[in-house]
Amino acid sequence: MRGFGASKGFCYAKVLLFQEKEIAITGQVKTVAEEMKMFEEALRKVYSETVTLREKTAKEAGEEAAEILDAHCTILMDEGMINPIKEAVSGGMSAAKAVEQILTEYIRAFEAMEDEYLSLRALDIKDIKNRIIRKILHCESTDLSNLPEPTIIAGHDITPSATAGMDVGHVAGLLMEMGGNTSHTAILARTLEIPAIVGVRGLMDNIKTGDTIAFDGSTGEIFTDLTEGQMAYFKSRQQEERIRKERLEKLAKRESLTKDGQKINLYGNIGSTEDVTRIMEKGADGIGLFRSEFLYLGRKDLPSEKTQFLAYKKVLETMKDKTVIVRTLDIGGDKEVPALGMKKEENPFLGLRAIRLCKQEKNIFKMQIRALLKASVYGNLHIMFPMISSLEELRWAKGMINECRKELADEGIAVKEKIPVGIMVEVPSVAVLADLFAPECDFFSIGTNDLTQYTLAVDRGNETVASLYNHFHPAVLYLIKNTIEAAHRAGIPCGMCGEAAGNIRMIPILIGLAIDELSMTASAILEAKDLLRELTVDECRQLGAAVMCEKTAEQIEKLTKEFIEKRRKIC
Amino acid sequence: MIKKKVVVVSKTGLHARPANALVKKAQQYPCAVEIGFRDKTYNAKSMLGVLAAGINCGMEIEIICTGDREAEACGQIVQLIEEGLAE
Repeated sequence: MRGFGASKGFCYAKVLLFQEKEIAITGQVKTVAEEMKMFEEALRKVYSETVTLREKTAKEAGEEAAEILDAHCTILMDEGMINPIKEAVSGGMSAAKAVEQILTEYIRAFEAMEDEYLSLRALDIKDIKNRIIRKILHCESTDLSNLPEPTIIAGHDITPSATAGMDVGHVAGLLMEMGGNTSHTAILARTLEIPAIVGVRGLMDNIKTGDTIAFDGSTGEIFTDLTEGQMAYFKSRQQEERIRKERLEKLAKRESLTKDGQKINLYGNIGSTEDVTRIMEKGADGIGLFRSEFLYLGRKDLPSEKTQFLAYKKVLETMKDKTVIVRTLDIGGDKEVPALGMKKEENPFLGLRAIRLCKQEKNIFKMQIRALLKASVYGNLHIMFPMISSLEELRWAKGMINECRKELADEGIAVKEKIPVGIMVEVPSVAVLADLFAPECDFFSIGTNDLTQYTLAVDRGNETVASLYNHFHPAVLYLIKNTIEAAHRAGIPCGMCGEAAGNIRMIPILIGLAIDELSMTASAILEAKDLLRELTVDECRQLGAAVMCEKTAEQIEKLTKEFIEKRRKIC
Repeated sequence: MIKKKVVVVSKTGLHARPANALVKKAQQYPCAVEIGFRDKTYNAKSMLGVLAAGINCGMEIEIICTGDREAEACGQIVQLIEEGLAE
C-alpha cells in the first residue's frame, strides 16, 4: 500500500484503527421543547469542548494548528446553521435529524466546489455535524486521548476534533484514507513533526487494530504483513531515528560552537511573524533573514506604515537583544505585488527587482524604512538591502535611511541611534569588488541562491538547465571566499542566508573560509548545529584550502562528502 | 430594503479570510444582510452561507440590507468589498 507522504519521518508501531461509531438516527420525536433543549445543550457542550481543545492545541501544536478549531467555533455559532435547525425543530423534527439534514446540505454544497481548500472544508462541517449528533444521542467515538504506548492511528478520515484531543506524546504516526497535502491532519502532523501518510486507498480493509506495521512518511510507502527479518530491520531503524531526534532536540539549548570552541552564529530565516516561534524552538541565535515581502504579497493594496511597524516590533520584541536582520522589500522578478501594477518583463531576474524597484517607487521604500526605524527601539534591528549591484545604489539606500531619520526626529519619534546597515551579496559585481563595498557596510550576508544563478547564468527555476545550478562550482566558491575576506579586511562580519548555508556538505567549507554566521530555515538548524559541534576550525580550514585548489564542482563535492563521512559515526 | 451591486475584487473571492471579514462586518449591523448571487440569496452574517455561495474574484454580487441602519450597513459593506476585504 502507498499514499501521499504528508509528513516525513520513519515509523514502526502498533496500529489503532480510529472508527467513528455508526450513528443511528431514529425518527422518534419527544416534545418540541425537549428536542430544542437537547439541541441547544449539545451545541453548547460541543462549543465549550472545542474552545478547550483550541487552547490545548494552541499550546501543544501552535497557533497554525489551532486555527482550524477557531473555524469550528465560528461555525458552531453560525446563524446560518443554528437558525434553520431551530426552525426545523420547531416544525416538529427531531434535533438529531434536523442537524443531519441542514448540515448535510452544506456538506454537499462544499464537496461540489472545485477549490481544494473549500472542498476540504466539507470535512470540517461533517466533523461538527457528527459531534453534535453524537452529543444529542449520547454516542461518542474511539477515544484517542489516552494511548498506553506509541501508536499509529489509522482511519478513513481522522477528524480535526479527534486529532485535537489526541494523546500527542504517544502518537507514533498517522495514516488516513482521505485527505491531501493541505488537509488539516497533514498540516497538524507536520507541525508536530509526526510522520504521516494521507490518501491511502484500501487502508481500512488491509490493516486492523493491533497489527504491527511500518511506513515512511517521506516516500508514502506502507509495509504490512512484516516478516521477522523485516520487523527487526524496521525496529532498529525506528530506534536509530528516535535516538537521533532526541539527541538533536537536546541541542536546541546548547551553544553553536565548533568542537574547539569557535562560535559560529546559527540564525534562522523567517517569512512570517509565526516563523519566529519555530526558529526559537530550535535555539536559533538570531534572525539572519527576515523576508519582509510577506507583508506585501497576496494583497491588493500596500501595507500601511503602521501594519509594517507592528509586524517588525512584534518580531524584535520576541527576539529581545538577539540580532534581527530585516531584508528590505525584495519583489519583482518572480514575486508580484498586485498593488504596484508591475509590467511583465522578458527577463524578470535581470529586471526591475528589489532595490531597483524601490528606487523607482521611492515612497513605498521610504514607508518601509520609516516603519523599520520606528520599530528599532524595540530590539536589535539590522537593515539589509537586497540586489545591490553598484555603490551608487548602496549610497542612495543609505541616504534614504538618513532622510527618514531626519523626518522622524522632526516628528519627535524616537529612533535607535546605532542601527547596523548591510547588504546582500548576491550580484557578482559586488562579490568581485567586495573590497569596495565592505568599508561602506556594517555587515555582509551572502545570498547564494541568486549569486549562484547570476554567476553561472543558470535560471534556477528552469528544469532543463537545473543540473547546471550548483553551489559547489569553483567560481561560486571563489566569490564567497573573496567576499568573506573583504569583509574581514574591513573589520565587518560576513554571514550567509541562502540555501547553501543550511547544506550539511557546504557548512565545513564555509567554516573553513571563516564565515561568521549561517542563516537557514528552522528545520535545518539542529542538524547544522549537530555537525558544527563535531568540527574543528583547523580541519575545516584545511578542507577550505583543499577545495579552492580543485577545478570542478564534482571534485569539490566529492572532497566534502568524504570529509563528512570520515567524521560521522551515524548515517 | 436597500440593494447595491458590487464586484468582488479580493483575489481569493469570498473564501476563507475575506469571507470572514465580510461576515464580521455584517454582524455589526442590526438589519438583515443578504448576498444576492445567481438568483439565490445567502445570509451574509453566516460564514457557512457566504462560503457555500462559492463566489470567486471578478464576480458581481448584490448586497441586500433590510431593517435598522440598512443604508449605512449597505454602504459600509459595499465599500469593504470594493477595498478587497482587508486581504
